[in-house]
Amino acid sequence: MSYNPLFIHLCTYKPIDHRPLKIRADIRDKWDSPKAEIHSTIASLKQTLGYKIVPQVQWPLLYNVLREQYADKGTFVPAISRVVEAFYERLSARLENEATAEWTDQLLGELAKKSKWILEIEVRNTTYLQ
Amino acid sequence: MIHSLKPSGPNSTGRPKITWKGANGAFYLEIPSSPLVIANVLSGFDQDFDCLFSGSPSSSLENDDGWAEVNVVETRAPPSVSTSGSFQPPQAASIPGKLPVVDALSRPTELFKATTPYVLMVDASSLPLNIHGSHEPSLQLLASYLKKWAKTNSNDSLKVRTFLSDETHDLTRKHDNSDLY
Repeated sequence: MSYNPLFIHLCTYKPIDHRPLKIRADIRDKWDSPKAEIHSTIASLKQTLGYKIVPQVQWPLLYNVLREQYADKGTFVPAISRVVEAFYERLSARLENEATAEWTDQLLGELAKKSKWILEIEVRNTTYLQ
Repeated sequence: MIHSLKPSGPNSTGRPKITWKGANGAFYLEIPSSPLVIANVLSGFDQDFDCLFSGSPSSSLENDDGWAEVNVVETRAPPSVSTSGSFQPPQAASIPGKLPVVDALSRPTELFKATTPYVLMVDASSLPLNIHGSHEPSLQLLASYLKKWAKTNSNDSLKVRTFLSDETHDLTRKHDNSDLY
């Protein structure tokens, strides 16, 4: 008895991962790896702020929408990582800035309301999804 | 830096944006589907943090006198400044506080593919005509066009392809530019 491959695919009900190997390797080496730059920026903010804000990236979704901009696949993960690092760096810098002390107090007040904080990385234009 | 030369792409909408929902315990970082410009990212984030709670920029930053503050003030200018269609000299606001990391830059053969203006070199001194270009789709279009319209003169023993009457352009030979860089 033979199975139609499509039928088998529907049965397993697992979305196909379209990310090329390079992207997956970069996520492993330049994002998930403890040596990745992002982890030191997260730690640095935590030290200043007292709260850890954990970034969550939907890599497959993100890559699906942005793939055309990254013909050179090797630049995708570093570029996204750089933007996420920028979030942590700017927030850290802001907390140390006397001029925004009032804002910092407000932020601390809000953050105290929850024990767990995340940074959700999303794509703006979801109509690009196919 | 390179992408900032693009005439299109108002940076007010094309930059990543930070929002916040305290009830969800989450910050949101929206990545635009247009190319990222790291210099805009940094000053834009400052604006977003300003508006995080209030929905409008706070005035406290205007007393600050660091680079960050200069960026913030500049980028609060009306959008018409940033959407100008012509090339502009770099302004103070476009001086990048941070350069892109090496790994975020494409390899040399890819680096200029996505940016305008494209390079097109036509060597008409010899036959066949040689055209080198940095934008492959344009070259493909050009090749298809020439192929469509070039006619072989059956009376000419050299079988040179011509356009209209007696112009002697040969069908162009298309070259990828990959050896230029």
